[in-house]
Amino acid sequence: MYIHHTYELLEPTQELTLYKQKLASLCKINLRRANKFNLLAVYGALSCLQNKNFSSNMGIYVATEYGPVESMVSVLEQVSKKDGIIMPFDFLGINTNASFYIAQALKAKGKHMMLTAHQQSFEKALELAYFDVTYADVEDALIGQVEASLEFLKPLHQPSDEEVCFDKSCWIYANQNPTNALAKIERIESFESIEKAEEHHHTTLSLTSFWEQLQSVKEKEISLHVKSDERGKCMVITLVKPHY
Amino acid sequence: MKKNKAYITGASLWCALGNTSHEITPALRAIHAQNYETFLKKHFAQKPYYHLLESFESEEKKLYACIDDVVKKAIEAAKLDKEEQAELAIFIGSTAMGISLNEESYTRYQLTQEGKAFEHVGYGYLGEYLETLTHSKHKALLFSTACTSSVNALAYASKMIEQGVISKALVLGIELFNQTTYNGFSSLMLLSKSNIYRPFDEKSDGIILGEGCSALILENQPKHTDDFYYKSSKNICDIYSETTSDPSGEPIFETMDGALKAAHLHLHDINLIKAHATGSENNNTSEANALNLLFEKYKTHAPVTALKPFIGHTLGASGCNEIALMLLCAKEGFLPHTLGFEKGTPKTSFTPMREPFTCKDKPLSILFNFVAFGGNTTSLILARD
Repeated sequence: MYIHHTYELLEPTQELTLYKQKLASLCKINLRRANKFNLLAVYGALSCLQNKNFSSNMGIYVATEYGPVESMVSVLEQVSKKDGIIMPFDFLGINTNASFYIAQALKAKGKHMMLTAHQQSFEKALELAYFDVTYADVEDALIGQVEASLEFLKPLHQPSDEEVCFDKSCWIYANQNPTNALAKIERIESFESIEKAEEHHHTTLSLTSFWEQLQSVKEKEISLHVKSDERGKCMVITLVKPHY
Repeated sequence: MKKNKAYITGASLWCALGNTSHEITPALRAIHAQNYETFLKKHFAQKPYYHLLESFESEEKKLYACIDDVVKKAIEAAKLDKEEQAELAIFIGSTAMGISLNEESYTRYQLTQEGKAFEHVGYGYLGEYLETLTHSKHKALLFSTACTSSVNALAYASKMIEQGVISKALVLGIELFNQTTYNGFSSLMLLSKSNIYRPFDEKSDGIILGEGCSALILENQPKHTDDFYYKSSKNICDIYSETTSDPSGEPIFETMDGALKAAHLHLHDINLIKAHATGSENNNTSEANALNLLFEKYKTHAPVTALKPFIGHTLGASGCNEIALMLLCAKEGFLPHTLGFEKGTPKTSFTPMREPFTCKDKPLSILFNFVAFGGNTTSLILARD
């Protein structure tokens, strides 16, 4: 599978209104009442594909570790009150509809989904997209990781994650066409432990950022992205420089 | 080119009818048009909701008791040993995931300002729990595509077995009562006021929610002579609206037709269509129109049934739950009928199946249809030879 376009947004906590303004400059879709998570998702996805051609039979894969937490807290607040009345848009906001908004904005009629795999959400989403593209279930795949900053939570309630106080919307667009590709995803492998991955690859592996590895493939022929969870389960994504 | 078939070698379900096949199938058989309203009145004494019959000390205990129970029973049905369990790739589908745990902890925190306000932030912990429970060497993946979550999980598990990417899979569907979902559906004015579930009927007036948890074990080899296997599926996005399907029914028709084409089947090869049949005004129109289009295209009808009147709408778990329910009934030699249907709307060209379908030892092909918020639409075909 060949990567053609990328977009990275990783910013310290920003206001929701900023993303609304940014999104308004990209498209006319009405997301007036959307939460920050959904705005981030749509903004990142549209930025990745701005002024680009793409197939309507596209798969959209949104990976997230935490989802729309701000909306969840708002709904928990409402439901804990005596009458328990929930505002419809707040309820819809906790239901993972970011991928639908992206599909609607792009008029993409393939498939769309939100996926979570503890500490490997992006890698597992990429694996699913790779599977769909390889077996021609979709022509193109748009894969992103989206997290809205959790800075609004008291530190006690925040998960222990380095990027927990950042807004994140990072995307790649990929398909089977090698022409003008930025990189090729050669393989996606899962291992029970990093030791087993090292044994398989006959080399010492260290944890990496996918986006840094993607940059580094410009300079070298092959680059390995390694991600493991706290129990040591490990995924290795082999990126290679495309030749066309 | 497919390398394998994906067989469902174990199925289990915990729903409003019980938590074993010995409880569920006789209970289901015993409900018919004449006693349906009495059954509902009794079951809905506290609330119009298809609740589990058991009570639990806490939401946390309920969640893990349900998962432990269905996984254990599915593994037993598939006769997996420890080494085989380690090979299970894990796929989970749910709408609410574990929000009931957060409701409990948030309320406690509001009262005491002590401890954690949230039991968990994010739902990856459910995957980790299943990885530990089964000693799986694989990483669990959670699907959130609203009401198609667990059927999409099942479709991927099946396709990956077919292509030899994995050899075994555990698919879990879970949806337990939580105030957020109940009040949310209420605020969207989608819940039935009559408290009688009547999909496709002219008196149908909305959804009745339910809770349930189910597990399916998939393998690349059959374990029993009557194991069902995956034939095909199709998942598309209907971009008409976030909360309603295109009323023309075309996207739902395309999904069902796509699943038939992918399986190289004609509609006359299908013994039964399990409709999504939520009973909402929009679903009654859009899915009925989709079925009309399907019957027109193939110039034949297939029997249609709806399972939600038995167990309620279990949202993201409905895929796994309704498939498990159908498979448990098929093992007992029948396929369930539709309750609550008396007279269709003028636009409905079919009558849902009013009596159970006897299928003992017969080859079967069943088309399962699911439609979700966010336009996520999935059809999946299972067969047994």
